[in-house]
Amino acid sequence: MDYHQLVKDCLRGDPAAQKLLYEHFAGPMLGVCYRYTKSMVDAEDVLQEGFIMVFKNLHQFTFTGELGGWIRRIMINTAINYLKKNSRYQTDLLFTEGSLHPVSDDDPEVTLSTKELAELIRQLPPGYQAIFNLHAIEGYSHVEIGKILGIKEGTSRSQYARARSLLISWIYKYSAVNKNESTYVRP
Amino acid sequence: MYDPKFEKGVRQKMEGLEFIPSETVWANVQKAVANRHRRRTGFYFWRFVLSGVLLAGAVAVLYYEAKPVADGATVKKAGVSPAPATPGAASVQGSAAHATSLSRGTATVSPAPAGTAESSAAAGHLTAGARGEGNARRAGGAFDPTGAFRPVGAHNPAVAHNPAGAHHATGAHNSAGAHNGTGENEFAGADEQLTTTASGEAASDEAVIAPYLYMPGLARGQGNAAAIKAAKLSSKSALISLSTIQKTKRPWEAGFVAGGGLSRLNRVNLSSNRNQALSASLYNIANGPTSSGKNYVSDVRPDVSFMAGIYLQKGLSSRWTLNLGMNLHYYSTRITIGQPVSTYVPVSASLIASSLAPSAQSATAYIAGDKQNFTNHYYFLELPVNIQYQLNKSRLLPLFVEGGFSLARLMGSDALFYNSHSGVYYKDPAVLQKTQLNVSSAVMIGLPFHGIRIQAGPQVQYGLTPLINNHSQGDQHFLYTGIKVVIVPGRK
Repeated sequence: MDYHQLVKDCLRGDPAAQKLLYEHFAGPMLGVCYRYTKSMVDAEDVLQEGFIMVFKNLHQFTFTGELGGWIRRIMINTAINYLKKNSRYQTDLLFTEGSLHPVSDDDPEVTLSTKELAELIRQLPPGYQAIFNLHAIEGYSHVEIGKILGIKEGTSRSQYARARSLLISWIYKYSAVNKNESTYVRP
Repeated sequence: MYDPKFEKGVRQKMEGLEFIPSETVWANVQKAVANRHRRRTGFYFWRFVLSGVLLAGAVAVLYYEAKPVADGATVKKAGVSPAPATPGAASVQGSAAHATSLSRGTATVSPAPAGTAESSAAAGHLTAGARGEGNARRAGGAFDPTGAFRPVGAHNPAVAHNPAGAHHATGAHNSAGAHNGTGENEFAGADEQLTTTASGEAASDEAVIAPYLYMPGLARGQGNAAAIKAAKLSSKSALISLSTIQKTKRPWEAGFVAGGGLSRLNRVNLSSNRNQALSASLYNIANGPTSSGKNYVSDVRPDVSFMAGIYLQKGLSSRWTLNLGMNLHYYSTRITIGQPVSTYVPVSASLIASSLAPSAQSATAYIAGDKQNFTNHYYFLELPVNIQYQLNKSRLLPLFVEGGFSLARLMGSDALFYNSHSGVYYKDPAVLQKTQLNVSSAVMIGLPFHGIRIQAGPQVQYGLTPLINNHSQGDQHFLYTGIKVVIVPGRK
């Protein structure tokens, strides 16, 4: 697909081009939004806000990077803002010491399917979930995460370690349950 | 501590995570994008309509404010005049009309032949225009308790025989004037008092005041006695009213303001966050090398700026004056840029910018360099509020000093912004603070010229609000220096 031409057409206000752009990126971007939220409804809200931002700021895209990466960054920023604004997520984003989990050195192999793993990530507390997504999947450094979430670098680092341990423990549990019962049990 | 293979595995798995969103998402996105486009179109339309309405209002205020006081009084009087006469009204005859004449306490009114008066009174009234009508009313209509024009002409040949509308009280060509004994007609006495405030034709006008200020609605249904009483009061209040009008010395006055000079971007707070500002995507005043190392980032140089608008002033005391206004202010700065890197022609952020600088719209991004000059245009609508103080009492060369603030709204801009990461200049109106608060000061010299008051002098204006809404780029504020000229048409 010629993104250059597509962006130009979108900027001219061509509805067909806008829809084409949306259809091309909506699926993977909904996957991104899904990982940061707790429900598909919230994920679609984020996707909607994110695409509105995309079309609003499309003139800022300078073709120096990939269009997909640019849209993905907008989606992540929108998702983080959504978490900050939404009262359901705010409590867990405070990163209080009371909600910390122990750290383990376990290193399981990820044998779960994509959707199973995504479901487990979404079960993490929102604070853990955001940091895990930003660091493990998006590749942000803890310094960057600290700036994005307004926390210290050390806090991000420790929260990530705990999120990782919690997720690994759930992966163990899920794998064990799945072997015995072959049904999904919510951790 | 951690095996990166775990993160790698998670990342690989998550790369393939996709879902199909529901149809409502696209519908809402499409709606929002379309609404945004409509809102922008509406804003562009209404901002010009609003400006036009305000300008027309100011011109109207200027027009009426420039009228002489006496005319204003006449207009006021006309506003309270009773219902217009009709030929049919002139046909009323007999004792009622006669009694009306008698109610003036003037037995000197001689009934004229009704047959001739009917036609001539009507003709006289209709052809005499406003003044003739006024005379006719003064001759008797004001004393009609019904408030309608009574057939004064039928009993008063003065009006009927005076198609030019010569004033009843002047008496020279007015037979009724001879009938109106000055000692007998108290209203004539009142008229004389009023005529002392004016002369010539104006005196005739002023003599009409008392009956015109008579409120027909007040006298209606109260009988002749009440009507006469009201007329007496109105003749007194006419004097008060006239003097009140003449004492109003500090009304709102409208004029025009214009100015020209240089605008530049003043940058502050750089010392505290210089490194951060340089590493972030800078606005075009950045002064460090780009990643390529071959190109350089241009300095921002001052460029022309001018403004024009309407102006309202009101004297608060002999020395203090309050000034309000609405200006369209154009700012510009100049930079040096390189070759365009895109051929995209964007939808302009401003109708003004697109019409004035089509060449600037030929590309959306440019690399840093020294290939060409580029002028950044900014159009602001400003609402200034100033207090002016007169330093001396000279009438030849009065000196004023003024200070105040203005609220400004960005109407459009085609300014280029520098992105240090990509090394290009690009257009991004979204990063501009669209609402600005400015402070200004000026020293003005008054230059009276054929009744037109002109003030001119140097002006400095500084934007308190940062131009860019990204603080990491350093606060940049507009600084305008120029000459300001205010023109207030004088009162006649």
